[in-house]
Amino acid sequence: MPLNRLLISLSGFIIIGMTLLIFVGITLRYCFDVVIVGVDEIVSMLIPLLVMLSISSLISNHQHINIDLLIRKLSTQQQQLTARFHQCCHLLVGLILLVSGVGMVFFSWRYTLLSPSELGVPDWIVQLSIPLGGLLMVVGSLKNLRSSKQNTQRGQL
Amino acid sequence: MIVGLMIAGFILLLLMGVPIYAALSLASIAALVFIEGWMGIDQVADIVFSRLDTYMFVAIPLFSFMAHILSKTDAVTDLYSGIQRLSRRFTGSVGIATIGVATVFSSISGSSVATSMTLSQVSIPPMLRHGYSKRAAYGLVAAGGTLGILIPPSIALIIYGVLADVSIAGLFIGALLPALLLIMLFSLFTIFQQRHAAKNTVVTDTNEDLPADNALKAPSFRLFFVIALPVAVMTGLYSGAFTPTEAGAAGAVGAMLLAALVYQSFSIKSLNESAQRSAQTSCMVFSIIVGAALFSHVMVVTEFPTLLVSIVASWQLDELTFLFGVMFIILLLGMLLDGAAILLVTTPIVLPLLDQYGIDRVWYGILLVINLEMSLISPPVGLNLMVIKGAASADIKDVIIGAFPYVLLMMLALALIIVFPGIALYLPGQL
Repeated sequence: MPLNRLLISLSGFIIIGMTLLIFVGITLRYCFDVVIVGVDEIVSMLIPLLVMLSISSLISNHQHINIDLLIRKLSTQQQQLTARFHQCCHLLVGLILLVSGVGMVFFSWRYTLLSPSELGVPDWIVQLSIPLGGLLMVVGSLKNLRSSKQNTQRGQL
Repeated sequence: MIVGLMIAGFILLLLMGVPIYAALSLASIAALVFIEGWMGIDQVADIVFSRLDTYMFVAIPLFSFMAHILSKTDAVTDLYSGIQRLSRRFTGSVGIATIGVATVFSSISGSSVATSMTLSQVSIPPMLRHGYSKRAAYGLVAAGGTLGILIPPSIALIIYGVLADVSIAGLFIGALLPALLLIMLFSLFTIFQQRHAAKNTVVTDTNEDLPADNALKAPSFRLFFVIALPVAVMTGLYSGAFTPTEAGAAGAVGAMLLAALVYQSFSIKSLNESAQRSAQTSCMVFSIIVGAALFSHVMVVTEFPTLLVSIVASWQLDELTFLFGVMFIILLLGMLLDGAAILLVTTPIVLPLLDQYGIDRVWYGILLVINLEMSLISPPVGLNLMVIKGAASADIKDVIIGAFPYVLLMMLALALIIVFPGIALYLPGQL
């Protein structure tokens, strides 16, 4: 799925960016006695974004850790049903993240909350990653549900 | 009662094959709604965001990035051949080389799954060629792989350090002697096992008359740099020059330099692939962290830890009995649950009890992680068993039987560290 490829590429860039940012910070501190303000804060802020961008690609690729001891003993039809149930679980978690995330962002925006450090980044900008991740999870799980339904119909034909 | 229902719901969802993060999240959200009504849902995003927005967690993707960069070079093959070359005059040299590679690779990757997957590809074929039984080879690789979550930079120790609010550098240094103890026990067992096998079979892994692997000709200077990287990173961490997060970034840049200058296998494409793989593996861990944060929140809201403390206090157990009891419960959980889930779910519950008994949090952290190591090779859910089954196309029964002696060795190590806490606490005390 092109969207997943884009999201996982972005996640990769975030990791490369974090690495370089921290490394430049170390180099400047030890070699030039210069401290970059807010590196810790910036990289911490990137973690929610990293997770929320990658989470939907894990859903699409079925890469989340689960225990499938009992599932493996079920018939193919039952396995398909449980796979759909799993997608519904992802969908529900995504919806909850989306709804509560929008509420959180709106609250921070309305009261102009800022991060407590010297950078003073508006909280709502950083918090946007949560509803975004929720939305991506909803899209990913709906797509999986749709494709599993189509596969079942093809099997019946 | 709500906590009981939440735990029951979590287990039910797990048994239905629902991913751990979703099972934890949904069971906790249901409990929250039960306690606070639909308003409970409003808190979910806040809890998730504040848990993820933690500076110390940045170390997880960075160490993972370092491991993925190195896994694209021939570093592991070089390590394997170098250690085998050093130990080839001894009985069980190939096995010892496997443990050596597991040790060094663990210190690069911080992940057991990555270590076992790499070892399965690098170590099992030569062990079988050198006369090891399938069970011995699978068991050794499974056990060697578990060292990944104990040897620094262990991701499990980073997570525990954040949850328990203890120094991650202290945990890392505290894990060194216990890791050495396990390495020693594994090596002695391998030598004993191969000596015993040598009496019964013609082909044995004893010596230099066996055909040398091509990789044995790997240049020593490459090996030097591969070993120097984790040593430099850890030295920077222990000396206080780096925070754990900075150590991860320095390690990743060091790995890039190693890949570019020593192995000449560095490209933008491989860098991107490594970064993307580490994003995915980190996200697997973080999604469970998110679920566990919701779970812990419900625990706090219901004041369950306080209740538990009062119940356990009424039993009037001594410190050792309490610790053995907790370890036994975690061992049982380890047979059914993933290690990360156990760590994240049990730690907030156990911490108040530790404080009540005056048990050092670093000591407990090391014991917990060794116990989680056992869970990786305990059936039916042992992750390393599944990794080896998949990577080596092995019969799961052979893998389980082969790994069983190592579970016993880990239990021995655990008991020794409980009885002699100095094994885990001596080095942190010197910091």
